[in-house]
Amino acid sequence: MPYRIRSNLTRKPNGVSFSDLRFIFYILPCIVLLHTLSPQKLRNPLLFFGSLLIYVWGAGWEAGVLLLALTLLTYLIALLLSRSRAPMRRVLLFLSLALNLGTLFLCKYFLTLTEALRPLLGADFSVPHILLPLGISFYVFQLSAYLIDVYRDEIKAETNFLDFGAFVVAYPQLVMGPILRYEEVHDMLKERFPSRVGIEQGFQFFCLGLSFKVLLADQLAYLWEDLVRIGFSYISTPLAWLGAVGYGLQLYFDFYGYSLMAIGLGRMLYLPVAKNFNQPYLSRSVSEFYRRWHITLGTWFRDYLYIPLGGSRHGTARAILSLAVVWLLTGIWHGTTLNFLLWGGFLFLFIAMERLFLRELFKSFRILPHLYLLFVVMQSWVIFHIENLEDLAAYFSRLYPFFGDSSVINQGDFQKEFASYWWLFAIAIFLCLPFPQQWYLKHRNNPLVWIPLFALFWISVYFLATGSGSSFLYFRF
Amino acid sequence: MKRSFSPLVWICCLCASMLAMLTTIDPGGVYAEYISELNADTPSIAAIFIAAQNGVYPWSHAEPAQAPASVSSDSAYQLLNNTVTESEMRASVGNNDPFPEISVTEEPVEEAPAPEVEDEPDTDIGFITVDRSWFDDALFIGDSHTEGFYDYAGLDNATYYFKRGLDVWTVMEKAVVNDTLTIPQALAKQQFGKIYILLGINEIGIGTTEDFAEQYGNVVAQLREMQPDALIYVQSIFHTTKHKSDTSIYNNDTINARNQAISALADGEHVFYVDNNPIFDNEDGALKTEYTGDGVHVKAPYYKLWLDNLCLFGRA
Repeated sequence: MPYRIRSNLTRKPNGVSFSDLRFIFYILPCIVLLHTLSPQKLRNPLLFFGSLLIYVWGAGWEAGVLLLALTLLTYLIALLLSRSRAPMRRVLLFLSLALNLGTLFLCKYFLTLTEALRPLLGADFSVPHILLPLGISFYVFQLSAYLIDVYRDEIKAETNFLDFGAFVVAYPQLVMGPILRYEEVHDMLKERFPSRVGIEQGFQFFCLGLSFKVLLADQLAYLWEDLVRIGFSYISTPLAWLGAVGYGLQLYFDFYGYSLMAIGLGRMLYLPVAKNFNQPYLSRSVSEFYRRWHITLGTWFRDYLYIPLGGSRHGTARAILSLAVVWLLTGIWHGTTLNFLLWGGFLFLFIAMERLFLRELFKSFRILPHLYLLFVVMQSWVIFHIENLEDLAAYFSRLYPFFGDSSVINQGDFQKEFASYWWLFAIAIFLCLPFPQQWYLKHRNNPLVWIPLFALFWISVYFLATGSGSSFLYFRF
Repeated sequence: MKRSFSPLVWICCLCASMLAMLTTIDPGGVYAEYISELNADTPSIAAIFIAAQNGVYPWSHAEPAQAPASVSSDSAYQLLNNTVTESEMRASVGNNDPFPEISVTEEPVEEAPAPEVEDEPDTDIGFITVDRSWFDDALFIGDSHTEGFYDYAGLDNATYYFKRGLDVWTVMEKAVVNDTLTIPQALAKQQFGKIYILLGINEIGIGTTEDFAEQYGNVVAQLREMQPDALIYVQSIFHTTKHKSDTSIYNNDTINARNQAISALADGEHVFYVDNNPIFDNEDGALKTEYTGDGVHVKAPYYKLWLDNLCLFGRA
């Protein structure tokens, strides 16, 4: 048989992700080896320049220049700020935030804005299609947090540019978070002690995360693709609910897998990479969920927006209003299409209700809050995922078939998909429970753990080599 | 005593080095061609896995060039029912990648563009319009398109042998019938009046148009031999949307070339070619975007149009 001419190893135009074979077999070994063998003084420069190089390789030199420019400017302004007095400090803060957040806003909304301004610009005005610079949503937030912390005198401005640069661009956390806080990283930034144990444990986390991504998330993704293929208006209600749950699991293991890989890489480099997930699906309320899902983003919004706006200290009305602003902006941060606004609003609604009366209501129940949370969050992911509002409405009309079924629906579609995916669901749901994690941490050096992990690693590599491996879902932020 | 040693990273390094050496040494000479097809910066280890997917292992030997050898099953590596060959399709179909992949190197299409598309059946060949009872003794063989047809066209009286990712090289070898029998085994037990084949989209990345058409011809010949009284209907490969065509390997020019090649298999007596594309295409000869969710398959309600079209190609 003529062999397969083309595998799917075409270059994606944006980023060398952790699940890229080039990263696993070229970049990872190089960086860890060089970093470990380097003398202490050279480690941060290595991290800084090495990460920049990888970034530019994957994202292009323009994105690299932008990253470098914003990093440099933030560094300089922070130094200036720490040597100035009010009111200059305020001016500098405002300037730097405008620079960082403004750039982010412009990049994200460039296309949307030009479309809105088209009547003024004329029909012939064509706009170069600018790709969103990789990771900009994350590193801009990281830079802004640093600046605000310096302004608040919570940290001292970093004087060593290479150290600061390493903090900002270190590849394990550059492209998809977690959003690091300078004070958490500071000590280890200055002095690192990579060790054999760190490398071993770090690599294990990396393998775990890789398996979650490639063997769980990417496989669950096919279910949603089946629904797209059939057409949302034409799926049965049980299948619609299965799809929602499936996507919720897919998104979790995709992002959680990535975060585990980042933590693992951090361990190998003796860098503290913050935890981003804490078994979110065990939460009892939406409020709690977002303290356990994408933790670093939630704490960023809490510390730099919610609390400055008043937070919980000025009464309920102010708190609700602050929450509304936070969730509006959280929605916008995730995407530029209307469904993200809806998503933010949907979550805000439930968080507000929880604050006002639901929390009291649920206090005496044990199981009900969990069911409530899962019920709400699974549907929120549908809103998050479907960008076309018509399609979104179609999907919800299947979740809640109050207007009857389309005659085209295949009544056996749920059984068919369930037969294919039930075991993936079972594994995924099991991994959401607390026991596997506790058990792993206790037994990770046991051959019963690392031998299967070894197998999982190579199976993942097989899938990556022969399939495409979809890019991480949060990658386009 | 608490163990503090985990050899995982070390044995992975060791294995990776050994595999890399294997691709360099290449004892059987089998990896050279796979490696040459990779991107320049892709680790050569990937070639080992792609080769394995095609049934080529380190202990295999290189085949003489141009001989289409028999295909070995790659089912050992499947985690799901869906075959891995489908995964390439899923890649471009998937919603995860906001930047769909650019068209990859495919051999230049030398054939002329698509044959004339007609809405009415060619009356010279003597087609008649039939109703659903025509399909009582019909068999449908195919890939995921046939699966969709089975699920949504509402034709319950026919027989269906399909599998996602099925292609002309493995169609007669995979256990497609109830996951237990191969098609030849099933055909030995039952005679059909007509057999409809739809294959081709999963082979877009494999082989040349000539190779594809030749193998397709072999399959048709096999079917003719096993079912001498059956009419064989070769169905056109469906077009993709313009966007999918421009940004993935599922390019409509390639599809048209292959359709032209397999239409030549029709003999007007036992083997016929049915062009289904007109019912789903827009004016530019691409799949209508409103008909599809993934750019490749039509959504549920449109399979009935396909069935209606087939009803126009009955024989007396």
